[in-house]
Amino acid sequence: MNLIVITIGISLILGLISLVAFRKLKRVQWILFFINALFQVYVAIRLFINRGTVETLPLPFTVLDIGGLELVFKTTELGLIFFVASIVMTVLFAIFSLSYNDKKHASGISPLWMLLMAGNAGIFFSADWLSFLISWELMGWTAYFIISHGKEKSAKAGMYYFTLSLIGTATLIAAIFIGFRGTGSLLIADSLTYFKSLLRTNHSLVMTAVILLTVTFFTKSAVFPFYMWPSKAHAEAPDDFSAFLSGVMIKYGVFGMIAFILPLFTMSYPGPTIGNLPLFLQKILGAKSIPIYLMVIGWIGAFTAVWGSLLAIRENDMKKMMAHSTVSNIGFIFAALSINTKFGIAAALFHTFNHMLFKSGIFLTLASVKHRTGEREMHKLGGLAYRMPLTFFVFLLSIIAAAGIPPMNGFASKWLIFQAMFDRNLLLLAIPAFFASTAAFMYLYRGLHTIFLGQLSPRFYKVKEAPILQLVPMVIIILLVFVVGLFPGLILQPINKVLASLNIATIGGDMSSIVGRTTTINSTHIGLIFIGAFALVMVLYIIGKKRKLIKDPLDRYTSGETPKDWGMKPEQYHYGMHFYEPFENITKKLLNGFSMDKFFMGFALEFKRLSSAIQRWFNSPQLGLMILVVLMVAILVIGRVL
Amino acid sequence: MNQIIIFLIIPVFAAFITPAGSLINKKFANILNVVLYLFAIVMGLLIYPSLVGSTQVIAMGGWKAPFGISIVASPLAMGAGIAMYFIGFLIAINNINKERPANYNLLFNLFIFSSVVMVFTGDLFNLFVMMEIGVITTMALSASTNMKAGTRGSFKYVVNSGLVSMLILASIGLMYSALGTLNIAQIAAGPAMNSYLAFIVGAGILMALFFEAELFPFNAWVPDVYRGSHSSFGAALAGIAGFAGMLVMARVLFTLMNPSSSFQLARESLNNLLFGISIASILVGEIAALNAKDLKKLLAYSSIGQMGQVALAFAVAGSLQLSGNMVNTSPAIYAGLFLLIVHTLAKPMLLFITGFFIKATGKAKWEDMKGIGRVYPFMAVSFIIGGLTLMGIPLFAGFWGKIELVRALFAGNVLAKVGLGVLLFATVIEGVYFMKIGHSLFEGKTKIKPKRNGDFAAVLVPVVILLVCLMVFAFFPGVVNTHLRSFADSLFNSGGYVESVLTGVGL
Repeated sequence: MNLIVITIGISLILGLISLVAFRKLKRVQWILFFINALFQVYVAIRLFINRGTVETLPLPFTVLDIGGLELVFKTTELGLIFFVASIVMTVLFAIFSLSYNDKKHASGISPLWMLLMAGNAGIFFSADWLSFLISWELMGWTAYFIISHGKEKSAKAGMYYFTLSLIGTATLIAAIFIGFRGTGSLLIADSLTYFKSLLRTNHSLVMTAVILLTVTFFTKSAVFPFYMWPSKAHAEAPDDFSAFLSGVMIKYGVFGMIAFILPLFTMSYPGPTIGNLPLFLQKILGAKSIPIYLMVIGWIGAFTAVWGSLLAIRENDMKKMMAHSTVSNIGFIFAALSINTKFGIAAALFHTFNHMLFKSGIFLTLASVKHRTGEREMHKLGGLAYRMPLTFFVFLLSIIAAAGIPPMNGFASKWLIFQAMFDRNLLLLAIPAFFASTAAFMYLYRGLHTIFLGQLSPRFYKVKEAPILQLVPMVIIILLVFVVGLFPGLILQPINKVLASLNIATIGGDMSSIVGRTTTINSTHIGLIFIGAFALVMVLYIIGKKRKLIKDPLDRYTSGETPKDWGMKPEQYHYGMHFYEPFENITKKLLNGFSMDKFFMGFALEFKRLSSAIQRWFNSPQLGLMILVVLMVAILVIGRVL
Repeated sequence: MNQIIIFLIIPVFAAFITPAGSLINKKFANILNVVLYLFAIVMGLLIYPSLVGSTQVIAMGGWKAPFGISIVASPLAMGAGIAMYFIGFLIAINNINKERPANYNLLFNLFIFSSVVMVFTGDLFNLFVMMEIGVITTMALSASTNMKAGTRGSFKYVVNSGLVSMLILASIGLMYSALGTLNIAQIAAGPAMNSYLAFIVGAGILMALFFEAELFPFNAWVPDVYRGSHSSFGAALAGIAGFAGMLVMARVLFTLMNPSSSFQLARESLNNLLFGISIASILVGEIAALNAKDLKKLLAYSSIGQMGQVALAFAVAGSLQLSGNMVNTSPAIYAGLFLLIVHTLAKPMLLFITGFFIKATGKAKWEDMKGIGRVYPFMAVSFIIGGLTLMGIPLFAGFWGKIELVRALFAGNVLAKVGLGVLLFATVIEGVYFMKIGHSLFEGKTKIKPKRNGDFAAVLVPVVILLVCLMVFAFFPGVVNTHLRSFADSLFNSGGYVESVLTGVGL
């Protein structure tokens, strides 16, 4: 049975049916979406049991002069683990969306999201470039329409994403055809073998293809210099889809890097490595055998991590802040995978899945907050912990995970990333990584403090806890975060299988412990110690002096004067406004001065001006051109006659 | 009389009886066009199988080639003829409720006639005459709806056409003085001309075709004419005139100027000229469309870009042929033909929808059409599908053509590599403007009330037919695939053409 083909087909057909037939019945659309996601879970389980499934779909026509071409889908360990993770998350999002899309918030995106899920399966299982390209583009343009979802402001953000996505696909096509020209085959494996065989003889061709592919994956994963699209697209997308964007979609680039690019840069890589650099650089940059390409990727990743953190710290819009945080984490992941050892890839994959969990948790809580309050800017919120305690709790645990504190899952993967860096003497690279990791505390705490702690605005006295269907997926996610934090082996052991299938050594450890380069940690023990410490504090809190809640007026910061008299609104003296003002002042010059966003916008503006200029040419009478042509002909003829 | 001749002169017949008929009923011509074009399509489909493998050559007036005009009914020409009548048929359906003066329908019929014959003819002077008929009719039709923009466009068209007519006439004259013949087959087999003369003559002929196929730099008229005419006539320009011009260009490039023809010494420079023109067209057309506000004009710019892509395919095929890379030549021509036919189907669809939206909103700018997709969802989704098709996104028809073209460009020379970069760049820009508009159709709310009347049906029917065609092309390209491949082979195989025209003629 062709399960992969069937699931892709069902997603496509069901998506189209729900687009056409249930246009007015939004609830039915979401139920269909949920059913489709459940079916994909079933498919995932079946594929998980029958490892190494290969399915083909013969095309009844000739493409590129290849008669009887087949679309090939194959379950690799890597694709499978990504697929399972993405599907589990999607089911949770589907439950959330069922409740989220009530009359007021209905966005009508579910049919397109279903089409996207077809692309999602295709990306992870494609074994030939044609099906990969089809899936990739399907994911690209459906995501554009989902992000835009009929709103003018969102459309601008969506277009920013889509332009980068189109650039990525253009380079992908070019890279595919570099391989196709040499092999005459569209199989991905053939192309990779071909590239590998050319590494010694035609290194520049391989590097061209690699860089083209890198651009594809960088644009999709929002790595520097394309780091700005999440802060626009994730923020403006429908709130339930933001979780999918940050949790799942942004990881396609990670998958692509590990599946298509890293196999070329193994230990036997013959091209330029750090060993070819001057000696003093070798001393500080890391192990000699690291290829220059990977070193650059690593540094770009580290830079992205730092930059994303800095941008997140000064962001006042909660969704934008978390989008920047996603960029920062992606930077981490890219820095880790650039190490390309067992520790590196394991750490990258581990952090990918951890990030998928905790960032989905964060985005779902934010969606619930927005669902209940309608606000996105943090200085308009505050004190919601009193009204939405469970949501607050989920958010709290998610940010503990995001900060990399035990007993949550983020700790083990961040630890593993640093282990991977030490393993290859990448001490210099560890500095920005440490910095970004620490800076994460700042923005995560800002989110906690301004949204959930502090004073509750009178506007939100009547706000209720999130609906039960929204709480269920959040709680499941947080339980998963907890379980993975205590037993990292749950994810690391499947990752070990991936490593084995990629011909890389596996990392040691069992359910609860991980064997690193410098030391071995037992996550369960660490986690239990932390839980014990929390419990102790909790006990002290409970037996301590009784506290009472004072409902004091919001104008206490102004010594009883009424700021309304000066034309100020309560938001403007909210503690969330300029939360880290001194820090913002330090980074302001740097962040404003060096902005890829400005660069791209300037680029776009120049193109628009060029476009207007050409249109003006079309509108002009063009006498000059005609005279020129007549003259040219005359000169040609006369020149001949003479 | 020969069936094929009847096939060709059906529109002339319609043009003759239109004035008399419209005295009886104002909508006489509308019905007549629908019936006659349908008749022509059926007739063409019946003749087509008999032509496969055995091209029919008809010597007009009994004068055998090379002395008389020969009509070369190759499968390619017949297929193109059917396609043009098909678009004409859809345009006629689109117009069925509209009251147009008899002149309009008369001229429109002549316009189709000239375009169809252009593809069939085997004689350069006849080609020139047909081009002139096309020019005169277009000139009159282009100012059919918006007098201001139309007159402007029409005037530009006249000036441009005057220029290129002069060029092609001079070229034909020079060629006749040098070779003593204007028969395409004979020139294709003929002795080499002096390289300089060959270049001037060849460039003159090609420039006339650039004009016809909306390629830079003789395309200044395109936006204004699209803007000024009925959107159905815009569809005719994109789907019939541009299509015919492009096919004639393919014929000229691969048959008339094949590497052993009279043009052999200038072939390389002519090919490079085509490369330059096609790359410039893509860049100019797509970049201009990026920021265009008027939807019809935007589609006109996009046509320029698309035609540039087709021309790029022909240019790379030409250069591959010259460099002896025969394996890849035919696929490159095939890529061009595929992109051409997709454009011929998609652009009229977009123009029909645009015309409908303009009528519904009363505004011409796409920014004023926001939210119309909520009222007419099918139309708006079809617009998006048309856009995705032209962008060459997988699962849509254009993709199959685009990957063939990319592959051919990879096999080509340095210019082809430049073309590749430009093509990929164009894909990005196309994506930006088509999807921007596609989404804006669903943005916000509109005050328009949906109307499901005869006008709606007159647009819906052709749009549905074209959409079905595009979907068939997307999921079962095998339907046309083999035909297009054999067309590409026949274009590439100029010897076959020469043989079929000149058989039994002692030279």
